[in-house]
Amino acid sequence: MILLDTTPLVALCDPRDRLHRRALAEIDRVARSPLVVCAPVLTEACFLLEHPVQRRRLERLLTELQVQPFTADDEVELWSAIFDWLARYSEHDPDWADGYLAAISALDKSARVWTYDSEFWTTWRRPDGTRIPLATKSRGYRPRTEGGHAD
Amino acid sequence: MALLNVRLDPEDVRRAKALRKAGVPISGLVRDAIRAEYERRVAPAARGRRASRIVAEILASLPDPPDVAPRGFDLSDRLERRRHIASKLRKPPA
Repeated sequence: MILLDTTPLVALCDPRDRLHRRALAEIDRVARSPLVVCAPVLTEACFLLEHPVQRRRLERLLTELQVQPFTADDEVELWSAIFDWLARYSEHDPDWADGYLAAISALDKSARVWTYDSEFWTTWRRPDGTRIPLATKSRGYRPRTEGGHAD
Repeated sequence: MALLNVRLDPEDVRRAKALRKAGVPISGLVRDAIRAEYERRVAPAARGRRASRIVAEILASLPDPPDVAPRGFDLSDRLERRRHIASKLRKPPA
């Protein structure tokens, strides 16, 4: 199972983003496993895909790639694990979606996170302290200092 | 038909007994769970077109209109993303 993070999801929906080509090149291999998305990632994605056309693309992508929603057996227990995780990494100022992905990646042995955020390689760990399995082998994308769109 | 044995802890044994007593066939429950999980985990990857082709078709059918503004920051920069989202939350509705 592949847990989608915000960055590849948004990059797939935005052909002008410089991560788009990378996401498109990786999606065939990544999508050999079932794709799963959680609500915090979708929320972030909608903030970043502001135009109705971009959101329509997101909707169709979720439907046509048969992306499944993540459902927790016990959401309240999961929240508790995420709050603990956020407290543990507070010096790095993590977001709820980071904690959510870190926590749910520990619930299924087959789960791997598809992300371009370098913290998943360098900093974030699962609640038990083990590495978060990732869908791609290369390191997280290193941001440039200037704007993020392709020429 | 093949026979599948499943080990249950005492708590699940209690639940299974209660379900049987309530008229729920356990074998049907197991078959339904296997089919649902197969559809969720295995079938999507096994069928259909290449994912990159699907994405390309979606983009071709929904092209960018002229009023789509460039994002203006690096998507992979978590702090930039947070600043953008925070600015949207602060912005009063039009």
